[in-house]
Amino acid sequence: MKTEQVVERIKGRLSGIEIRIPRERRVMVYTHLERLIEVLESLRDQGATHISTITVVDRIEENVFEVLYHLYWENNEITVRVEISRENPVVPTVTTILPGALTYEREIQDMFGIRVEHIPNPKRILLSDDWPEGVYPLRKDYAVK
Amino acid sequence: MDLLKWARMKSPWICHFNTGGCNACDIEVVAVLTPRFDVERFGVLLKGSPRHADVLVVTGPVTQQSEARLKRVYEQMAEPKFVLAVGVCTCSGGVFHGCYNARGGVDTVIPVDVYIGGCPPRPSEIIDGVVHVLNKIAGGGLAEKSSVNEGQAVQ
Repeated sequence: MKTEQVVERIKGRLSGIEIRIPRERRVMVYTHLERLIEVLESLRDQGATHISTITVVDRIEENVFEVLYHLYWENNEITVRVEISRENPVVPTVTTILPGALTYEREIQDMFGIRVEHIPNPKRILLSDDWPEGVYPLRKDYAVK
Repeated sequence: MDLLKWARMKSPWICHFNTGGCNACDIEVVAVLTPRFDVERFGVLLKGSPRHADVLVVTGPVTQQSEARLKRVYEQMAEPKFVLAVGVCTCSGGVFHGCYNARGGVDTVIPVDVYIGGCPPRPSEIIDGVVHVLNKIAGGGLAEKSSVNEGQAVQ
């Protein structure tokens, strides 16, 4: 599917969504936390059923975590971007929409200390068993020894 | 040469342990064990248990999770035991040095007898390391120059 068609389809279902296209076959969807579930649900219903990964950008100067949900949809990479506060980093689980997101949600819980609400399995996934609580190695303020 | 030493030199059984590497060194170690490079000519056999092994072949940097397990595997081996560190990560931490979950080289946890650099080392280099271990078993310390690395014996 052409990138323009993807953008048209996204815009057809969702109003007031900011979309940027940095290059061909790459679509950035900027949204807010309140609309995240709605946006992902709409994308899923239209066929974007594959979640590639979830990544996080720690924008420490702005006191913001940006959570990026990367979806693959007919040769297009769709990234849904949400900004959350760094003080109280909470996102809702998206496993209700895309079950494959569980691994990545557990990963961002480990690495960034972002709490994923109603996650089906909150167990630690990547860090070692004796890793101290409250230390998140991929945050920018983590000091490497 | 006394009988025990002779027996040990002719059957240096190995146990292979990956402490958190990327698998490249493991592939080279496996290549060394296959007939193409054939360390079995020195009596090297891969064993599943450290209790049966004389040489512990370690690959990868030591991670926080594997540290205690590496110690435990080492302690399970019967004396005399030798440790062969395969790959630059195993020797010093390599590219993982300073990583949040990496402890560094294997020698931060257990004593190492022979270091083999490279990322990953060629099978010929690993064979060279094996020969160094054999020399050490024989009690002669490390060889100045092993027979394997002279000329292009192994390719």
